Amino acid sequence: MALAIALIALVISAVLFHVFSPWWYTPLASNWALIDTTLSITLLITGAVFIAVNIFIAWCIVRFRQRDGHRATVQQDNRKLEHWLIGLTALGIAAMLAPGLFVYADLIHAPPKAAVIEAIGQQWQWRFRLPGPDGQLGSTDVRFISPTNPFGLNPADPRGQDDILINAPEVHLPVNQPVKILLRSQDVLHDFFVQPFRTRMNMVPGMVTSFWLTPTRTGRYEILCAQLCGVGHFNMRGYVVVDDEAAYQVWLDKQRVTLASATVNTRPLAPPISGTSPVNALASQGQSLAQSKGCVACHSPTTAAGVGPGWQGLYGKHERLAGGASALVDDAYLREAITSPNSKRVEGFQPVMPKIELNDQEVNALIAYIKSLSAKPAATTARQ
Amino acid sequence: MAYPEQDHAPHSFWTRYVWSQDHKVIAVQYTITAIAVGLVALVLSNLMRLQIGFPGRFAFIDANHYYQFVTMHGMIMVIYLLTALFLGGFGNYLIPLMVGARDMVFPFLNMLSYWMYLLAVLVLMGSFFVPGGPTGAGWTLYPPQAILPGTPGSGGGIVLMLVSLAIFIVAATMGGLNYVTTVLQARTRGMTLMRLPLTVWGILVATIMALLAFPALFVSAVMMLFDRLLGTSFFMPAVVSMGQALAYKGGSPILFQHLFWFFGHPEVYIVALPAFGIVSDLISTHARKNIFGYRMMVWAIVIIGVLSFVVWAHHMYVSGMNPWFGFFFATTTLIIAVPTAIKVYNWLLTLWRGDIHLTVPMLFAIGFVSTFVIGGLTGLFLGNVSTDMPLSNTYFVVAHFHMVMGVSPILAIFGGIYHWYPKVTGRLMNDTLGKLHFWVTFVGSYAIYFPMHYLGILGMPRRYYAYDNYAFIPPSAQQLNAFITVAALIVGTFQLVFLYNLARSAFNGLPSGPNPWGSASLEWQTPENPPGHGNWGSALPEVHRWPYDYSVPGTSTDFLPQTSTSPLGCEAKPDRTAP
Amino acid sequence: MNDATTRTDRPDPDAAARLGLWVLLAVITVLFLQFIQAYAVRSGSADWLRLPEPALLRWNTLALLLASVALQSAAMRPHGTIPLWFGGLFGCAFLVGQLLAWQQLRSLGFGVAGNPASSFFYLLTGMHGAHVLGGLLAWGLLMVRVRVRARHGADIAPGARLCARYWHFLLLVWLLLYGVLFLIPPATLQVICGGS
Ligand code: HEM
Ligand SMILES: [Cu+2]
Ligand SMILES: [Cu+2]
Repeated sequence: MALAIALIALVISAVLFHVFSPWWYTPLASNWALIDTTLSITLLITGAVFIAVNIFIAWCIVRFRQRDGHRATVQQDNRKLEHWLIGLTALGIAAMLAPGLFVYADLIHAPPKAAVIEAIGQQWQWRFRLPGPDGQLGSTDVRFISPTNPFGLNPADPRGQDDILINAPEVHLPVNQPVKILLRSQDVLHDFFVQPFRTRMNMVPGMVTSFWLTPTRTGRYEILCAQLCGVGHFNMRGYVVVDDEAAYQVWLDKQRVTLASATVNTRPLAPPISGTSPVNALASQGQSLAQSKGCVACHSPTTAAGVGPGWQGLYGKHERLAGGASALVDDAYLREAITSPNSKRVEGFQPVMPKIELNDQEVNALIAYIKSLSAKPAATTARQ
Repeated sequence: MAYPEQDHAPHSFWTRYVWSQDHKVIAVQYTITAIAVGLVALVLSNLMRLQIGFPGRFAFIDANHYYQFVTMHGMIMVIYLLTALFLGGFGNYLIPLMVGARDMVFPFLNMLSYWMYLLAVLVLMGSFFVPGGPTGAGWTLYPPQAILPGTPGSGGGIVLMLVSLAIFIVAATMGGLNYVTTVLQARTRGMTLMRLPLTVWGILVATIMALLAFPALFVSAVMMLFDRLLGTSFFMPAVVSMGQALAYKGGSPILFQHLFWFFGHPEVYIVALPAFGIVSDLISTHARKNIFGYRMMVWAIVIIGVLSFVVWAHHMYVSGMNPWFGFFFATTTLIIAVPTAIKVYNWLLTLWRGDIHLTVPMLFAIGFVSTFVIGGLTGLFLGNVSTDMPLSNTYFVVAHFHMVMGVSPILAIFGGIYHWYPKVTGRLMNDTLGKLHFWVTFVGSYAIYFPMHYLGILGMPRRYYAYDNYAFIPPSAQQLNAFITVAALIVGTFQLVFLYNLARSAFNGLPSGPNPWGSASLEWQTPENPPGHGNWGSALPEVHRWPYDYSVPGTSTDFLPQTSTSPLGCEAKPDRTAP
Repeated sequence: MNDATTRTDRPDPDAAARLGLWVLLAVITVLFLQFIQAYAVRSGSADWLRLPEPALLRWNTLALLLASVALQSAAMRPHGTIPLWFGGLFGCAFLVGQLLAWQQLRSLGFGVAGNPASSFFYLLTGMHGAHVLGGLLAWGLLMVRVRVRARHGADIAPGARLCARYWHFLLLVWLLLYGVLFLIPPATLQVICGGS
């Protein structure tokens, strides 16, 4: 009996939870409304079955529970009933499958007029590439990847010379324009997932995958990596900004300008990450660099260790190195740690830090930023 | 091979309980080992939940550890707990008793199977102690990530994991040869295939599937070991990892995924089919009614077994494989729902007009049906390729597979243990503690996993160590996660009640008598309870009917054991006309 | 418990062993088919090089064939252990030959980690060799049993038959691997396997 009540309570709370849940998909921002529709159809059908099954069990328990003088009624099977059930099930399945396959046929056929851009994944950061005035992306290969050529552009391919390279985790898309996103990875699997777009695809080293959509709503959306890519996976953030035509042009022109000034583009990102706020302009530049160069995938601005040591309170501390030695963290130590990673290894961490192309000024900025994160605790010590 | 020497009962403690070749002892060994590693996996899951529910509060769970916990938890639960317990535990104990054999046909191989399994477990546990710790590549072990330095345990951890899997597969093959051969060769007189209890059918088909599916895992494990240790490029393309160009070149990560899921999907059913069988028998016995549509049930098991080999790529819709495959695999995947639904209908129709005894095993069996149904239904979202797009690799997936292959098989295992415990020990498990265990586990599982689907629909990706500063995730999601964690901790803790009950009842449980549930199937008709060495005393039993003659009209008892010679009964016959 | 009754109600041990062996062969078949499937898929990639065939392989094939023949004749004759001995001997010869072939290939500059074709060569022959080794183990057990049983005048033919069947199977697998590695062009193989 208790079980019958529990099952009914379960059904009721499930329905209530569904109705009142604040957790539901984010508002759609692409043309894939049909995916949401298919999802709703599926939910309707499966929800009905879920309710029916549990209620039926509850009813059986009440009606046919063990009582004095009650005996089960033997029945082998019932062909007719079973055929009905099979038929109904097949019908329900078809009702879900048909719209599903219908959408899928669209999903895998990008319209020929779709603009093409490329997203590149690396542990644990994003980069983007847009075709230049020639409208074509140049060929690439991991063989060509180096600190000065992080995109692995083929130097012999003229089509690549004018490509717009965005060495930062943020890309813009024009609203209401179909776009086909080519995906590449230089190390492990990643996945380009923007929930409001609904569609997505894995990024596989050694091949180029793709998906397409038409953004339908302007705004700034988060790109998540949704395929486990190592210990910094959860921190592999990026942004895609859907602009109206005018804003998009402004942005695009800015990318071209930066390109013309011949440095690889690194720009500050809009929201500063949480943590102690930097004290001066240099440190603030360092903070942006930490984000755009992908340092934050591994180093948190708190004391918590991630893939690498946390930065808060790091400056001025004695780090224990692998092998037993210890070293004072000062400017020189930080400079060496940034410019020739893994030459010294801190105990408890893997030698996995990549060498990142930075000029002296940028290194100084990063050091200033790291220093600034230790300023407060240091001050408290001083006061004591 | 069976030789007369082995018919002699063992005498010393060692040959009786340790180097035993008796299927009943081996079954218990398998069960205890599996429960022990399962406990490790349970603790790991609660540690993960602590981090998700209260991020950063437990400093010792850093990102490295989190990923190692995820991986070890998943792998242990799926392979080393569920597969081993269903086939090595239940299969070993029940097959000879249910088909009327004295033992497995190859007792020595059976013993070897257990020791290989134990070795696999030890190697796996050993990976906790190597430098760098166990692998954190996720239980799917996808290359290139699994063997590159950005993943924890890419040194010794992954190697031990692969070696342990290879050993496990050898162990499972040894066991599997035994189970299949025993069912096909050692049935007693009168025990036709269509008189086998559904438990045996489920285990038989699952074993055949394991024998055919595990080689794919073996192949991928060996090839990945080559890539890792010998520098071959089977799965490894050219990569620049952490700024270093590696020597790999030309390999295909997607090839690994095909091999892995060619094993991985059938694996779901290797766990599910024995649960189907056990639950069918529990429901029939405790509802005092024959299982509805027995033949249909057998055919559904067989069809599911066959179909599950042609759906594997539904795990790869967004992997970058040839997109045309999506049509085929979505269709086959949804078709498999039909025979699965038939099974559910038949359980329901068995309850209908039954005489439902709400014993502890029955509670668990009904709990199984409820949780399996919700897990199966959410599978339709993920199997239908376009609805999988927004849900793939989110918490919706985590909720789905925990319901369908985590919670529900575990409930079937619990039900089975409460049901057959008197057979193994001659004593009943404590009823009150059993009910307490059921209620907390059943309600708790819903509390954990039902809301989790909604986090997935919101778009929270799985295998995330933390969700700081993601703007689309509202703070309320964090509160929900804290709630889920609390529920998980409660459920985890209450498994101690089960362990206590399990251990204590062996000595203090009420004596059960030979057939406490009034079960008709053969395993309850042994001359001694618990059965002695050789199971059947001086002569093998003779079977005259199917195992589901409950409440037969015209009889005074409410069941007829399979050995009964009564002319009454209502066995399913192929040429049957009237209902 | 008395031996007479128990033995009668045991299932026929020979029949069980036969069935067990068939199941085992099925499992091993699936294992090698999976390897070959992987081979077919991988052989479609651009970095694939064709491997020169070590001349020794033909002789090794002959050794394996002779092992099979010897064991078959042992199985058909219940007495006399000479053919059994020859079976094991040729089996060992095959393994030694395979090792030498590995060396030949390596001295030609085809190491394990070189191009994928040579990686697969070592992988497939290695896996096959491991199964031959397993066969030799079974053969060794059989020889021990011959020693023991011969004194009781028991029939060793059933054991020898199983052994022979396993060796025929190993021969078949080897021929298949040989064909895949050296005879069938990768393109054909991909068509057969429907490589993705
Ligand atoms: C109290 C019971 C359990 C709890 C609280 C629990 C919790 C979890 C959590 C928190 C994760 C990680 C999610 C993520 O970060 O993506 C996980 C993953 C997983 N669990 Fe469980 N789990 C439980 C029981 C089981 C059982 C019985 C199974 C058996 C099938 C299972 C199989 C898995 C698998 C396969 C994974 C995926 C591992 C991976 O992503 O590599 N779990 N579980
Ligand atoms: Cu990732
Ligand atoms: Cu699947």
